[in-house]
Amino acid sequence: MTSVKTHMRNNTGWMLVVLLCLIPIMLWYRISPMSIRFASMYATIISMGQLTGLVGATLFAISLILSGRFRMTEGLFGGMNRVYIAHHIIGGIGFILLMVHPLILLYTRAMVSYNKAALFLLPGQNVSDTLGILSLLSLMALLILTYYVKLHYHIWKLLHKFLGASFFLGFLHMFVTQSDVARDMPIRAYMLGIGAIALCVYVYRTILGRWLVRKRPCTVTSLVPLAGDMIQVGLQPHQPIKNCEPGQFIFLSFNSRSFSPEWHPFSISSINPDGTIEVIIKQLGDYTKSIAEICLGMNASIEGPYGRFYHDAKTPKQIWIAGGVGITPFLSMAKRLNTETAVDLYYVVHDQQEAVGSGVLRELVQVHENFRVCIYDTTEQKARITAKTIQETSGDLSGHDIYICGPPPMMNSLKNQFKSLRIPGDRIHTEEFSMS
Amino acid sequence: MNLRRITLIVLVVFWVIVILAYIVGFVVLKDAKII
Repeated sequence: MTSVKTHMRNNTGWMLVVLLCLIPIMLWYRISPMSIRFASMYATIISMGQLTGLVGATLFAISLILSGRFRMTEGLFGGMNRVYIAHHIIGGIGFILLMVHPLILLYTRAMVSYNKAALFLLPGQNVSDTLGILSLLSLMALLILTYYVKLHYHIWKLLHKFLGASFFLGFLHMFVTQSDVARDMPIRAYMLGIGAIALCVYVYRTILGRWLVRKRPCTVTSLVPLAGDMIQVGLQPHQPIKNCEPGQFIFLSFNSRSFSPEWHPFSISSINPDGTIEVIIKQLGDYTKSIAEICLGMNASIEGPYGRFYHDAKTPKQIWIAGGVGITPFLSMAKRLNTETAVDLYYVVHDQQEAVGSGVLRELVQVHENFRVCIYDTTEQKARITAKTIQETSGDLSGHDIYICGPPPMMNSLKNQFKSLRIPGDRIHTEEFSMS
Repeated sequence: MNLRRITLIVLVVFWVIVILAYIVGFVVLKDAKII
């Protein structure tokens, strides 16, 4: 039953996205009869151009709204990681439609004159088209850089912020152009509404986020160096954090000149009774290379917690699979494990010496008779862990919920393998947000 | 096929069409009408 509820909730977000895209299509549909909209080849192409523009702009707006990290969107998609996946997919599809939009209209110009078609693509012909061209060119430049060029995270983040400006130009283009949006009040109101919400979210999160987004000041109270270039950082929030659940993650920013001011997600490895929370940081990227600079008493800020990785876990039989530093959410989950739940944890490491938290896990195994831990050393085994290996070790997996956290290729591969073993997709849970 | 690859293909197609439109519209045919 829980699984069905989770499945329903995870789809609610996507159903809402489809609905939000269908509304402008329905509003557009009622303006003029289909017999006119698709009366000829020329009319059909014009209609397709209008629809790609309307749906593309709506998707772009939804993508911006999803980037706001709201609890409501997290609830609709079943976790902040899923919200960001949706943000990425919706933004990508919106971008494709917005590129197709001028190409279709270009074709209608070419049906009249090739010269007119070429002029259509040049900025400066009229205000409306110039706004559209500038919006699309800036969008392309930013997306090429953020999608296909490997940049330093802070540069990537900075460039990504300018996408809101491209969106603003695109929306101005929509309202200035002599089209159905300019002429028909309901469709105009709808596009204006969704565009205004997206711009408000953009301003709230990106432009004024430093002042408007709620952050919780905290102090570094403990530092425990771990194997494999990792460090366990204890944080004491100045005000207690309520509703913090095992398996969740926080966005963290250290208030020090050694660190760039952007926020990075880290899974919570421990929620202690005294209110402190612990995260494990591994040196992976540009930002986390500075972890040696973290010192006791250093001030930091927390945003969150977020995530629903373990939110609906009520099934009595579970398989947990951790890859490297992906163990962190499982450490907090294991510490809060109840006696009725049977869990087999597979902890995949390159070297047993790097199995962070193995001591804590061994202690928990002694306490919980239903908790088993298998440390899978890929160097020793000379093979990656597979769903079949897990099935052979844990037995029949039907009725199990499977939780995976680790490098994305490992998670994707295992997810596909479990699906091929006929494990329903809504029983496989992944956490993409703890790999910082 | 993932979204990144599809987006890349659309990007390439977009620029090929745009460049062709410029060449045909401004260089080859100038302001010739086809209807």
